[in-house]
Amino acid sequence: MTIRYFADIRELTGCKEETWTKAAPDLRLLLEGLAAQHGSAFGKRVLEGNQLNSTIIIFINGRDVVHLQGIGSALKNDDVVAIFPMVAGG
Amino acid sequence: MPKVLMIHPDRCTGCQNCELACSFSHENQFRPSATRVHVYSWEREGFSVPMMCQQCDSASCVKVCPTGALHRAKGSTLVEYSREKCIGCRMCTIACPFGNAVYDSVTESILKCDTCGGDPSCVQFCPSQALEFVDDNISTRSRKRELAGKFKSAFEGA
Amino acid sequence: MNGYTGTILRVNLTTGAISRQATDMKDAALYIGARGLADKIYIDEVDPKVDPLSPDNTMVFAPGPFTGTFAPSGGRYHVVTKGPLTDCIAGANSGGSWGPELHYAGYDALIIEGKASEPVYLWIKDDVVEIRKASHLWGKWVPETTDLVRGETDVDAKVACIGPAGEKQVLFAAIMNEMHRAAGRGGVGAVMGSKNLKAIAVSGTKAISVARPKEFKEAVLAGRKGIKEHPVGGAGLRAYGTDVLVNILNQIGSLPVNNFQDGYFPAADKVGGETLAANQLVRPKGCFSCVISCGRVSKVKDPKYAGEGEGPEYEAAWSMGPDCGIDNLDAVVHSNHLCNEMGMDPISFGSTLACAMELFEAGLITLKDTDGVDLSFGNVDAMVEMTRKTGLREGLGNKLALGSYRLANSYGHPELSMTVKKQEMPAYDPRGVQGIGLEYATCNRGGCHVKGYTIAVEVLGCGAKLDPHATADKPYWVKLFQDLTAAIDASGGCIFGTFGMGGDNYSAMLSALTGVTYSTEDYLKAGERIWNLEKLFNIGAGLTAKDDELPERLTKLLPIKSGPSKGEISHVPEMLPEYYKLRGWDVNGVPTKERLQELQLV
Repeated sequence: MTIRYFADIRELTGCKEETWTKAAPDLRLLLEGLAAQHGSAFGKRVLEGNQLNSTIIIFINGRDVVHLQGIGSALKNDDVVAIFPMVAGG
Repeated sequence: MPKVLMIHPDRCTGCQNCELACSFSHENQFRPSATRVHVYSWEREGFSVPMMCQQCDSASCVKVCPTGALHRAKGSTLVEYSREKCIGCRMCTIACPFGNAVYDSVTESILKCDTCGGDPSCVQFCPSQALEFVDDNISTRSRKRELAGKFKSAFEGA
Repeated sequence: MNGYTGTILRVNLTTGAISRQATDMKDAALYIGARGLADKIYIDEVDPKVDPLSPDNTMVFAPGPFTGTFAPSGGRYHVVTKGPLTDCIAGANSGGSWGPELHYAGYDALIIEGKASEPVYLWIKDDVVEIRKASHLWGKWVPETTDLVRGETDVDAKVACIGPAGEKQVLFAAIMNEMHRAAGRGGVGAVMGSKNLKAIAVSGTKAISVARPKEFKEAVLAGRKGIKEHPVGGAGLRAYGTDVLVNILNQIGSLPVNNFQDGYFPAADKVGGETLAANQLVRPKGCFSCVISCGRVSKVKDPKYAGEGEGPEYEAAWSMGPDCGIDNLDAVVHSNHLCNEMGMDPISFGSTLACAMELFEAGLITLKDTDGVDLSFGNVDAMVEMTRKTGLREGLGNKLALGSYRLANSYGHPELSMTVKKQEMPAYDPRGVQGIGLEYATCNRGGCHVKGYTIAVEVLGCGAKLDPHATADKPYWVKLFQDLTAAIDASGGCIFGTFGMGGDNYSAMLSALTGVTYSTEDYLKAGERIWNLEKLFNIGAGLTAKDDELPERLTKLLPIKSGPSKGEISHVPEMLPEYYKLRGWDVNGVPTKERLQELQLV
């Protein structure tokens, strides 16, 4: 699974992209795993309790998870997950 | 503890919200000549600086004022302006080395920063923290701390 | 009179006559100001069949009631004319501080008629207005022009001017103010050049008064709070600028590549806002009364592209970047600096170049035509060279200066021009984002995103979260955004204020400022009125429903080739009938008498 980070999320993870090999059948488990790896600042940015932080946008293979199953969206091993803060218009 | 208006030109985006707040807080309208703070911008470099009365301890304007309209009360941090004593001679506008005392022909008075009675509107309206109203003996603290942080990063990186 | 000055200035460049007229306050109430008032004045006076570059065309510059107050991010002006690129209504909007200065000088609008017999500039200092010689300025680029005009007028004067692109009537030439801010699209700079008008310098000292000051201040503080707490308006745009959109659009597979031949660009990150913040950004910049500071002061250190200026915005980074197959941000920043300095719209330029590149790769434009320049996609040197050549109309640049439609048409392939109404579409692939495609198709000024920015809800999740691939409800949302934007444009506000403020905030501020009561419904209705007025002009100019179409490449011939939106096409033709219905227009897109009466347009 490929995880891509954008805008100031990159500062919280120290990288633009990483390959995730741990099991993550859904988005919640993936985010919890990433938070355990990257620390509480990252965790607070992407999660609000056990929900998705309302200022975060996540795409799975280019689809906003809001139009899939939200934080319960299923994930496969070859998926690309992109994590953005709400940042801009133009 | 006396407070001063501290400017941080490196944070200024040139938006002129301070000027608008100043005009509005004094006159309830937006008149460019009514502002006591002026922002100067250099477009090529993209740099802007807000300028207002420095409330000098040893103020040139006070020294030249023939009527005492410009004066400093004992213990005050402000150079105050008493309109009723002003004769409009404009000596202060010549004396101020910063050009921060300005004559306004509409109100027939001198315009200089009065810190809005201790709650400056410009500070409230600046969206970039380029203006602060801080205790005068620690006015440079935020800047000192920022620079200190650079040392910290340098040592941590080594 | 609150929020308005009550005076409109008229300058006839043919006769040299300078006159004033009273602002029609009934019109001000119906059309608000800026875009709305300028539209009303222009459309009442000018024949829609006018030749845009003839002396018979007029230009109307107007600030809004907000312009010059501390309404958050409310310092804008609008210029309305008929566009030489599109042959229909052209309205361009700009920030900086020129608009407030015109308002402080005492004018609700400035009308420019006719044509001067030799280059001139206008100097407006409150009530004193002069037409001055500008032959010594003709040929000079925007920064130098600005400095010289200030040297002859007032060191603090605000200057709106054209560069060589406007002088030479590049059909997408812009009008620049404060050197780096642009009234960018439609060729408004070419119209100014056709009038031999090099610059308008303004100095204003009069007051803008407020009907209910306490209420206005409270409404403003509430608006500012909304923006500050919004992730986009409060921090995101200041940190990264609009260019942060590159990666967002790319990750959903809707970043148009190589003249809309594809929608995914693997190297996108190299030209995105994160990279810009790390490499070329000096500091953020804010327009007059702005609380957001999305502007980028930028500098390139690489000696090949060295220079300083502002930008690029997302649309410019895209058009001279991925749309041309280019991933070199230093070169893109440099070309954006050149566009500003010559006074040229980077969106139309980049997209026209992309069209030329496709024509070149197809063998239709040859090395002979390009004076030996290899115009393949991805050629960075070619892109930079063509920027300069287009602004100066040299070599092949002379043809690019006419826009991609006329360029492609001259080679027998108009279908390769990615335009609507002959204006180049910006940086969102309508095959992957359905609603913005409908905005492109129906925008009165041609292919444009900003007058109906549904990206906010289709991609960015601001307010509502719509599926970009779906067509359901998109006509409703496009109309809503178009109407609200028109009202905000007419107020003198920057639409980035909508990242934190809604119709309620805007109508509250406008009511307290002007003393005229606007409900949110009234406010949107004013926007709808403005939209319909522009539509009537376009119909008079000869536009029909056929002009509300996207290129067939996007609706039929070429689904996106790769990336997350692979296989998608645009469904604009299916959405158009519902859009017309919601607008109260007949099946040909003509406003019905009922709707026009409801809007007080008949």
